[in-house]
Amino acid sequence: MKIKAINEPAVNALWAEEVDLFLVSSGYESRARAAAQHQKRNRNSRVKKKIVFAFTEHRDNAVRKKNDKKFKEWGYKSVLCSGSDSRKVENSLLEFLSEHDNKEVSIVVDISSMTRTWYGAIIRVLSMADRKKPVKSTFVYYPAKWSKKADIFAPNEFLGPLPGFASFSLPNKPSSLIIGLGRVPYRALGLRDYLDPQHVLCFYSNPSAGSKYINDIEKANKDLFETLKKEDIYTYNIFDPVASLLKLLSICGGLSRSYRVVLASLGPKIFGLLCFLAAIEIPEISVWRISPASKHLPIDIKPSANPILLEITWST
Amino acid sequence: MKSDNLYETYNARWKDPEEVAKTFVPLVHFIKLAANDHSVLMGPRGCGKTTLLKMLTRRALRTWARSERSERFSEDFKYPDFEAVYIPTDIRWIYETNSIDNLTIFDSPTKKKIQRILSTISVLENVSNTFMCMLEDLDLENGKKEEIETNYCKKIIEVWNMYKTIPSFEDIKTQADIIALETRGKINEQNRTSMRAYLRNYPSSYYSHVLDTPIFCCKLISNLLPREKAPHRWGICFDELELAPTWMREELLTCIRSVDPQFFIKLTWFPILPSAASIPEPGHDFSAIKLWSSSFQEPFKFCDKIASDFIQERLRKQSISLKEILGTSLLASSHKADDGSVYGRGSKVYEIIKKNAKKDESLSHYLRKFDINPDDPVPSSIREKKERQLDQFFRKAKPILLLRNEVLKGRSQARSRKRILLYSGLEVFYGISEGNPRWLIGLLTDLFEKYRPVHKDLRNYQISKRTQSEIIDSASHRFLSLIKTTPIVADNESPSGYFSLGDLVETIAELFRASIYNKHFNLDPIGSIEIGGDISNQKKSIIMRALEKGVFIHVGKTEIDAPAKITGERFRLSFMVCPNYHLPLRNYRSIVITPERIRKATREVLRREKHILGQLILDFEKDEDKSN
Repeated sequence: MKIKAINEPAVNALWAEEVDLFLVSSGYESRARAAAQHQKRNRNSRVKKKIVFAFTEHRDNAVRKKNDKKFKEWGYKSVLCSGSDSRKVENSLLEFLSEHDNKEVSIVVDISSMTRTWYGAIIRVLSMADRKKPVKSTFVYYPAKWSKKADIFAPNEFLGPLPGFASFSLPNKPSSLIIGLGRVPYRALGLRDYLDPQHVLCFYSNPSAGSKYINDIEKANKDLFETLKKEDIYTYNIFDPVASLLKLLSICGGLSRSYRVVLASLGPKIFGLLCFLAAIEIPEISVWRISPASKHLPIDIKPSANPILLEITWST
Repeated sequence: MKSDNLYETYNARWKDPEEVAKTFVPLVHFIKLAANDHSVLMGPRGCGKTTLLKMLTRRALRTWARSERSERFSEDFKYPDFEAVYIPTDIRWIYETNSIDNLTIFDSPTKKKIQRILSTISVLENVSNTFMCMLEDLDLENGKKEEIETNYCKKIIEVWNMYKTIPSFEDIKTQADIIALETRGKINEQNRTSMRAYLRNYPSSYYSHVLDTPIFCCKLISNLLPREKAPHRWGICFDELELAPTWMREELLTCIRSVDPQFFIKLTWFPILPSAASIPEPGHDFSAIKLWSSSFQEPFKFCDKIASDFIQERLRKQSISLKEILGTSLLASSHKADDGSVYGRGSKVYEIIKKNAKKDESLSHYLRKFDINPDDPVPSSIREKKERQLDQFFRKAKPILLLRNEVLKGRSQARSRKRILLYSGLEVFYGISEGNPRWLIGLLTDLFEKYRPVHKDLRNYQISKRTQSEIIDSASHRFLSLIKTTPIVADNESPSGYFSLGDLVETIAELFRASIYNKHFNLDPIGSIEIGGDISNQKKSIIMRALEKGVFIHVGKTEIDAPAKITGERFRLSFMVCPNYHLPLRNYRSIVITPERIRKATREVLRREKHILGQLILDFEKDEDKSN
């Protein structure tokens, strides 16, 4: 299927219509249940099927146990899967789509605590599906409430293209790396050093979910900024994902003429979502990840007040 | 102004061969590489492997021949006697091709076939580029070039079963892009049956030995050219082979012994020689060209050439040497320049020795051992004795004494790291660059941002020691930041639960530091390591990364010595690390590092109990004495 329409629905419209499938995740972050709580509070909401992808990692964590308990109480079907393995996520979605092949469906996905591997897989499944009827998918993202603990450096462990998002474009043009920056120091620098691209461009959120974020990002990436020209540092509005996506697509489209573009999102997951969507639109783009050590200490992340929504309508 | 990163300023990967030729500074390595034999270029990133391979190509040689550089550097240059075919790659391509191994939906033979298709089309594309350039250059009768191109491309389309299209080089390249696109689409479908059907469309020419495609293409074009114009020998150049899929590496290395004698294989590799029973032997089957320097002064000649070339470009007609701008280094002066005058009465070193000999029994013991008066510590006036004292004491002791004087400043323990001005001077800049062109040009670029001569008379203009040490410090800091970003491996034996290059470098540097800044002066501190014990594959991969990044440098017994394995070999830290830890820029003796010792030392470093490291070193050495 292709992307037919992109929209930013209002938060109060999220549960106004019937939802066929609601996908969430259960991990060690409090914000993992924020969208589900929002749905629960909305008396008019009608959700036919609810699935929680529960991480195999950190199952003994206190916040995780609370999340699991709540999801069970709220009637979610639990699917246990590793954060770095998307097969069960894909299979769950494929099964659902196949059961509803002749019907227009509406899916809500809360990506707030999902790994990029998981929601990347969801995007990939939707883009590869061959259906008679369209799918309306609404992605929900709760930005993290600012916390000092979240900028503790956990060294890089995983580095490489995300499954399904390696473009395999021949090495006949130089690479351009576009990084969505985060607060953790050295992550972006590490990716740049490893990939060794000819050209680097950065995005970071400004306005963001708080001015402290902007300060943290600028501080954490100071070494990287020192090596870049001003015109290669862009900002995007985290609260306006449609405009941000259009900006990203415009830049990628321009760069793709002379470069093989690699996108990597190290900061807010909404930017990660935009990277996947850009890669769907421009198949020559690869999306890479560089992730922290799996044995790093889990840090609870609470949700900020208002979610960001992005609605994508897919059809063949 | 945003200055270029230390690593990016001189990255030849995406430079056209013509651009590479315009700034090429040849050394003996190029002459070895241009010889009629198989070569393996070994060295860390940024040491010039890609530059050297690209210089073999017709496009680069054409530009070189027309430039004034070819006259300036004529003694160090050799034109190859073969036609080079350069097969480029990059980290992204390699990672993405390797990532096919992680696709669980497909079985192993399928994954390998996919990788082979991608590799074959990449070769076909690059071979087309080479032949396009070759035909352009050759003086052939009217219409002959087009005829050769057409006949060549027709055959390629036939053998590789490409879509029937206009038989031209550009269309072969377009076909290659289309195949990559289609293959990507099939991979993303994640459908085993569909993939098998897709792969059946491709004839066996896509799945043959990695050398079959380039050799076939070269022979084909040779047969089409008039006999007197056809190359008699070919050099197939594979860049970044060390990162390629295992099957590709093994195929290329094992075929070296048996490849058609018309063809020479030129490869790049890690700083560790390829080794296995089936792998050919260096010196017999191929020449291993080592592109790093074991000792501090080894790269100076090369650095001089790069520096003077750089200055000439920057300052145009003005004539000044880097030595005049930076001055010489007291910390790291070359042996040739160190004639003993720097230790004379009243000199800084003299005063330091004299002052410390009064309170440090260990120092005065060494002085007496070498027949030097602690109250008047000057070299002897008798020539032979003086040479012995210079060689066995003064030259070794000087950097340690200078650093201890600066860092300890009368305390019993070293101060936390702060900038000291000793890391300045020409020799320091050359030494910490390790002769790595990318690093050196990065440093020179930073320097010249500060160098703004305001007077016409340049002879008296110098960049201050303070400014120089700021630049060195900043470069060292950036290097260490990059080390910290290297991906780690999970390791239950390590105190943190993972094994990281950052922790390993910090632990080793702190061990060296503890040895230098001990309470008592030590003429023979630890300054290198020998890897021992049972190292897991995961730890080996981290150490290999250290070598690939140039963080660890092999210290060979001779200048041409290259290691074939990690364990049992001697390594030092890159001199680029040293300013951050106040370490001398010299090779010192080694200590055996086992996983257990690293674990113990890392624990103390992570706990910030660095004062215990000195005792740990003594314990390690006692254990070694016992086992000896």
